[in-house]
Amino acid sequence: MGFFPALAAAYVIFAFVFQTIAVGFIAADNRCENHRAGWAFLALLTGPVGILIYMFKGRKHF
Amino acid sequence: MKKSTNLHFLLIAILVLGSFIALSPGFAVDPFSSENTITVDQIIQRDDSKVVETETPPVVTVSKNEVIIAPVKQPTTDPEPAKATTEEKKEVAAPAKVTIATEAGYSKILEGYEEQSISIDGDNYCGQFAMSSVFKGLGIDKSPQETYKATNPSGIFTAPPVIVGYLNKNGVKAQQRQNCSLEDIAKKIDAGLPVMVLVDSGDGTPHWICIYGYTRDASGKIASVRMRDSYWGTSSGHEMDAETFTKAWKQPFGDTLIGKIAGYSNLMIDINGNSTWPATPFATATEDNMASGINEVVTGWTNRDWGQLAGGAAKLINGIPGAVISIGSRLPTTLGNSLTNWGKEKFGNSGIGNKLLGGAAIAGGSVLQAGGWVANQVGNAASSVAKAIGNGIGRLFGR
Repeated sequence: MGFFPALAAAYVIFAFVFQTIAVGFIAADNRCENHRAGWAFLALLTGPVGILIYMFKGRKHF
Repeated sequence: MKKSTNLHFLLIAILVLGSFIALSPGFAVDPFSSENTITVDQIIQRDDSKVVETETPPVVTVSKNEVIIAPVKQPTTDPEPAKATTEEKKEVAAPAKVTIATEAGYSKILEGYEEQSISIDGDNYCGQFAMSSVFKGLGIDKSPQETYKATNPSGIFTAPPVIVGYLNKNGVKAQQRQNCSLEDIAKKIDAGLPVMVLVDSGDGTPHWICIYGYTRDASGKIASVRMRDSYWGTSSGHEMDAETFTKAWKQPFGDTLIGKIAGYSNLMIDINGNSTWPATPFATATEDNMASGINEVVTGWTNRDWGQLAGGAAKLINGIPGAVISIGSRLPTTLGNSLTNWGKEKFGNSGIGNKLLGGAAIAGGSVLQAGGWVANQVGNAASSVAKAIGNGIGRLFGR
């Protein structure tokens, strides 16, 4: 089977770390305008897509 | 930064890491320990005149459609790569059944599989070997080397959707099914069609095999299956008893971490299945997306096929939330199972206290199980979207 188990394990670890950072970032971001929980839930469900949308639409831009 | 937001972050981090650590005992499992190793007994077969020896007692009578299985070599249990041989050029005849009846039961074996000569020039990976066996058995002229280059040139795992896609692309209508039974396999063989299944080859390594025959004992129960694969049945057919096969089929990744995470169980590639859509089940959408994403990225990189690489990368990137939610859902499900079992035990004891405590534990466990199930479905839905996006990107590149 080659290195598939290592790749799969690495991917799963990366996915958990990525989602933790993404959701944690939204939870802790002091530039979040409103609907913090909603943005965090969106990021949880859509991952990179949700965090990108949040960066453009959910943050205060000074 | 507000204190409350810091608390949120900490809480989420603890939850996510906790769920991951809960799955980690699989790391400690030694895949080479004897407990995790399936030993396959050798079944000696001989081509005496009009006699086929199996585990059942010697053949007494042979049915009207008397057919003798071609001489077979003694199968070996030692793992050995397929030897390079000249690929059989002639087309295999259309599927036909051979029924061998004995007093102790009967065997049904499809013709054209037992004596196949399959070589992938040393790069003999199980998925490609099993697909080559199916192609040959159905009379489709497909070079094993071509199959290998298109689906698994780096020798990693061949994901079920990759196999389904390649078979469909080459004229074999195929569908991936989950939680199948031995009887499902028997039905396909009765209809003159082989099946591909994913089993544990002994140390938690998933392994594709092509099944083209089975034997029932006197009571009508399936006693063994007959297969071609790149491990046991390299040079000729191999007979595996039903008990060993069932165990290996139920947990194709064995008792490893991946085995705990992956939901693949009794997986069967149904050749000419009744339904044409969806080709892969929703229940394993996360596993399929993850496995096919890795498969396509590695294969695309090896073959410098940028469309395949982009499709695979899209599956993996968009599949992140699905993977986290689905795999995270294993925690409440496992806890719920344990709590429910404990509650049932308590509830069975006498005393009002035990009844109350047991009942509460069963109720709580059921809620956890239901929550885990819902989360798993959400994860599978997210993974299905990621898979569709990845496949769409692949198609944009003409794949």
